[in-house]
Amino acid sequence: MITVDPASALAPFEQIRSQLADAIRSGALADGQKLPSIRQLAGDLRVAAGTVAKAYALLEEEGLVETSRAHGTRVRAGQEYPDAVSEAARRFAAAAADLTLEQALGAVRAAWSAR
Amino acid sequence: MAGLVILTYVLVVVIAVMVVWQVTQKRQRAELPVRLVPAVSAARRRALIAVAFAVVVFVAAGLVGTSIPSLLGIPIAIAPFVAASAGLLLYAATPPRAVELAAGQLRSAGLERRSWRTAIPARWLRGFVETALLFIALVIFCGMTAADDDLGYARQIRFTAPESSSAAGPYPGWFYGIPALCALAVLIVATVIALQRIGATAAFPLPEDAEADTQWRRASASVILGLSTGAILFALGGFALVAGQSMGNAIIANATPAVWSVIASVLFVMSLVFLVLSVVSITLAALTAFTIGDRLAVVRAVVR
Repeated sequence: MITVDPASALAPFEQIRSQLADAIRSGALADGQKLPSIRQLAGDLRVAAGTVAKAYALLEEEGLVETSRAHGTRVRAGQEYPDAVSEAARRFAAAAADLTLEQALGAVRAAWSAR
Repeated sequence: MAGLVILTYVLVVVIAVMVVWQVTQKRQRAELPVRLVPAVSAARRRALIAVAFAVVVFVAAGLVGTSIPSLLGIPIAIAPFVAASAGLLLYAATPPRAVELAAGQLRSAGLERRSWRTAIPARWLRGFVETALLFIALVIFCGMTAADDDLGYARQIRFTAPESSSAAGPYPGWFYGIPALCALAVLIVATVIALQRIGATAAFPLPEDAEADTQWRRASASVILGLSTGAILFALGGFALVAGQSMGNAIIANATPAVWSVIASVLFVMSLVFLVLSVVSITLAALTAFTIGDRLAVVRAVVR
């Protein structure tokens, strides 16, 4: 399930793109899984079809999904994080239970720049 | 005769719906969340209008068939299919009502792709397919056993003996069978279009309404398939009844093989079963249409 917050500073297409990208990389969306049609997702989220189309186009540019006329938009195979990264992320999330998401991401950024 | 059967059939359905509806109305109901009421009421209204429109078209087609004898009963043979198709296409053409949200309110969506098959209850789909296959088998059987009448139309059954022959009609040979099969094809397409409409309707936008969303879709799909299946069952019953009667009338005593008497009796008995099942199917469809949303309320009451 994904959500769109109209009050967010992030544009709706970016909210959709980032949540779908996270779902694909975390394995919540399996290899080859069909995504909802642009029309369906736009209708459900009460956004313009162009907003969803833009999110799908960006996901395709990132290589996370592939689109064809015959099969619609599907998750490309092999886009999940390696198991070691997923496991480390789970451990980190548990250790950072008292932090906000932004604070936890800040810790990752700091560690990233220092490596 | 056929017009009387159609009117009696409609009367039985209406009485059955009213009786069962009165009984179910006495149950105490929980109330739906206010935000869902307009959308669920609209879904209920669409389904009810579709069923009512189908019944009106059915009666009209029956009256046309009986009042214009030169059509040789073709309108009656295709009436159930045409009526159900008209109801379903009206359903598909009626726009659904979306749940309204405040401008800044968070909205959510599932990531499962919906199609015309998404919300179909499995037993209804199985019943629909099996009934359609049975009807096709009966049309083929009747078509293969029919003989041409004086006008050259395959609409009677004839048995011959060394010194005599006997024919009776109307018999649902290819003259009625081919238009009926074409009308069945139209009904199947109309059913898929109506189900597609259910799948394409925007979901309830809040995560806590996901169960309610599934429920109204399943209830609406049940109405669609109940109406379609009831229409096919009526045609099946009608074809079997006419075939059984004509076959029984055409049999030559002590000359026609006994198996034909058995077939005629089986067709006659099965026709009554199919007609009763048709009443049950249409009644269930109408009642489900009346009660779309009630199960949502029940589910919510249990959750609370």
